[in-house]
Amino acid sequence: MLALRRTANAGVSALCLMASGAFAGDADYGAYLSGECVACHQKSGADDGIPSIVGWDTVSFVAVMLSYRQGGRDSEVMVNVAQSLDLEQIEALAAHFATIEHREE
Amino acid sequence: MGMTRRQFARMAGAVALASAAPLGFVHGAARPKVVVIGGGAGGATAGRYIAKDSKGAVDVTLIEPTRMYYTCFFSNLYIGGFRDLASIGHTYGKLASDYGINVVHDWATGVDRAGKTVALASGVSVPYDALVVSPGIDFKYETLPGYSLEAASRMPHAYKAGTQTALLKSQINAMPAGGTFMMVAPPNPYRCPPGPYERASMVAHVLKQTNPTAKILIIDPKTKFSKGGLFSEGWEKYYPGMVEWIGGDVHGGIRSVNAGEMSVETDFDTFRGDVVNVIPAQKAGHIAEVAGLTDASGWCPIVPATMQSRMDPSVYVLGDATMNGDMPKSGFSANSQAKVCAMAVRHALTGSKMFPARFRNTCWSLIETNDGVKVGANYEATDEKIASTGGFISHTGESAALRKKTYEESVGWYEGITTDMFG
Repeated sequence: MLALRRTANAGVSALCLMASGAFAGDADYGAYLSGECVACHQKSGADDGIPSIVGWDTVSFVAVMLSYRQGGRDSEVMVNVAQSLDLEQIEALAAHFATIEHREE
Repeated sequence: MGMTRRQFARMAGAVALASAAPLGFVHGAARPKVVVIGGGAGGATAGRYIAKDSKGAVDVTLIEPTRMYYTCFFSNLYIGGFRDLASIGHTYGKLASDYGINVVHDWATGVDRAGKTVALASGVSVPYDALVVSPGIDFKYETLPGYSLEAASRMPHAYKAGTQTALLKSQINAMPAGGTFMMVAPPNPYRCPPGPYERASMVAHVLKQTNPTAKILIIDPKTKFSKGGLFSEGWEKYYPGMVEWIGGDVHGGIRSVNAGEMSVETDFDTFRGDVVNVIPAQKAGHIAEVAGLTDASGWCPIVPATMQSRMDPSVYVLGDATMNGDMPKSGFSANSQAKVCAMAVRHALTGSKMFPARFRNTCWSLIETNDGVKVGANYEATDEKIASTGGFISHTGESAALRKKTYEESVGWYEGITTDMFG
């Protein structure tokens, strides 16, 4: 997880051009799109075998997804998923998952 | 079903008034009614998302005969001894208590599409405004002479998880030393394309420990199969000399099976097994046919953007029962289609927002302990079909670390999807 965050932070500087402050995605759209994510990622934040994606700050979320989209991270599933999403959709997802609290120890 | 703005406002008002009721769910006549037939990956997910996202504004009834639902996905891991049967069994309590779904354990026996009602085996009739049909598969017994409902107790298909899977596992445990496990694989299209071959891997995993001179013989009507290169590599690596696959171009065609003699007759030869796992040709679950939702193929044509039946815009069909284009018949696919359907149903009944349909699928298979492989893709709705927009598959020769990670991912996915289905 630590490694994940570190990579995420490394990606952030590249994103500053796009990010005028926090990302403001459409959370309704994100809620619909999130159906695709929670088929694998548990909404409770449990991370057995698949990382948790809830409660992330939006900037990290977007940075990681863009990194996947460029094929810069090692998961064929996530590269495949990210390449099917545009920036608006990624921002919407980030907005949605940022609102969900980690419920599992 | 169309709904005027005024009707919608009235309904929304009713919901607001009733919010003081226990659980916040309304039980009045004003709410539009959705009936879901089938509580698997398609039906349970659709019911849950419609109830959850409409926040009680839609009355959802789920018709599912079993009180304990065993997932077909991961049932091979039960055969392999990686899971116990209880760990793949799920109940519907949360869908009732947490989401206000009226879960009815009964069989749907008929659908009156003109009158918009579903008939149940108990004699009750349930009205609907929108109907979701997600019945899974049934078998085309007539296409394999000698195979029947009766023969399935000697030659289990174990392709609807639960009792049949337990029966097959007990037969494997009772195999004589050096005996033969024979599988008759199904013709396309069928539920879970890599399923038969993951099963052969899991049987090999068990026999390698308990009965190392035993053989596994797969008689396949097809000339190639899903993840073929990956399975062949794994069988050679972990179970050398144990697994033999005979394709349709070698045996020339499967003519019949004989449950008395535990044999399978092909154009080439007659094979005998100590355990014979016959996975027959498949079609949409019978109720879909009864409801007039199937075409000549035996499957249900659908409108990709909404999952509506091409036969009736008030009816939606999900999962294995559909003939949708590029998506394979899998629990993951059904779960994905269910969310598009739930959005479309809510839009039709309550005027909620409609977004473009998105679908995806991933199928994991286990070859040996900590050696998992996967195949997956994204899909979009075109006018004609659900069309693949790109995918991936595991490669031969991958590192043990990656294969272990892939297996662990599948375990995480199981928790994720079953929570997404049952709450």
